[in-house]
Amino acid sequence: MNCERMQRRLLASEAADRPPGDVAAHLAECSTCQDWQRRLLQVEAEVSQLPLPATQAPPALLKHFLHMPAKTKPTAETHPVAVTNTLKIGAYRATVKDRGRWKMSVAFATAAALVLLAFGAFVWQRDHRGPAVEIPKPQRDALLASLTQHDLRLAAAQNPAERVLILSDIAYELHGKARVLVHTGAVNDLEKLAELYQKVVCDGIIKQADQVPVAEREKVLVQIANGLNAARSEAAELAQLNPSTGGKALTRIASAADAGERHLRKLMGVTS
Amino acid sequence: MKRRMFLTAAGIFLAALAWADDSTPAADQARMFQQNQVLIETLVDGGLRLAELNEPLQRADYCNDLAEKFSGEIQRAASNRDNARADELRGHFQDLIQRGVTANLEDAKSKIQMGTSQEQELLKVRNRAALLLRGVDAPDRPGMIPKSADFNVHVTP
Repeated sequence: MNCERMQRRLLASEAADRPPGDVAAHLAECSTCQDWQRRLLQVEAEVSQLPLPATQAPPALLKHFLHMPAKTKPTAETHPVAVTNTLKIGAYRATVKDRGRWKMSVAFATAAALVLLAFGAFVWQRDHRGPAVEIPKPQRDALLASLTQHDLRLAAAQNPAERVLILSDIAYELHGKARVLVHTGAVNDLEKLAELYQKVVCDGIIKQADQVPVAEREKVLVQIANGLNAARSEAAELAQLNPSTGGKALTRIASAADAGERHLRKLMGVTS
Repeated sequence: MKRRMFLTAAGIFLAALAWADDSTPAADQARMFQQNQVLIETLVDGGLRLAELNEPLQRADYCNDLAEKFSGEIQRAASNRDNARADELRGHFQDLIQRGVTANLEDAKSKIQMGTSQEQELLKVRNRAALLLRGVDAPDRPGMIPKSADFNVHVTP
């Protein structure tokens, strides 16, 4: 009676080779049960090697089968014959679950590896990036651009008043350039600028101002005369400050501006 | 009067723009002045000359003269592989052709009678601009220079 109970418990155990403590104690003393256990282990070993027939279980059935509630499982206590099937089903479910867990683990591991890889690449790139390469912006000659635009305005100018205003803009540009070049010590360049400035004032502004209708002179010429006055003062001051580098050229600019201003004031004086 | 005020304002604006933009160090400005001195002299003399020309056809042809000077410098810059300078000059060249030559040709076209010697002169100026454009390999944008057909005459370009 005791042996039969022990054998049933052995059947119900998850691993027949590792029985619970009291069953193991009984097995240690009972040679009958030891033989029974040996046969059971042999059967289990052989059952697992039996080839399974290929099945094409409908997905719905398989799903139902896999999600079968635990309470519907036959118990080993009451249906010893069904123990093998239960074990098979349990093993199958365990296999499917393990496969799912395996897939999930692989997915998580892959995702984690990718995140780590991306982070590593980011850090590496940040630490190993060379100094930012600044593409030098090509320098453009502002004076050249301005003079081109002023010439295009002159090519479209319709009357002497427009022309004299544009010419005064050209003079202003040249004077501005001279202000910059005086600090570079480029004496020859300054003298060339002074020559151009003088040419614009004498051959351009004065000449065109003469053609401005008398009625318009006051309005048109006053701001030009004021501009020439400012240029004269500034050039004279700079000439004093930089006698060696630009004294001569700046004096020439101041003289030309003075001559131009005087001429314009004279023209305006005629009207007043 | 409004036009004059507009032009004055435009001039002041351009000058201010040039001044604001010209943050180039003095040494670089000196170098650029030396590099562009011939063109600067050309433009100053060109301005004085343009101020004296009243006829649009004459102005157009004189703008061709200026453009020709730029064309030579562009070719020089290109042969020195100074692409930045060539591009900069090409921009000014195109302005001279478009706003100097073409605009005055259009103006002249409205003033001269077709079939006269003036028309032939106009075509000559137009063809010269076309040759200059080809010389600097500048793209002849649509409308940059009027086509011969625009003048109702048949010429061999």
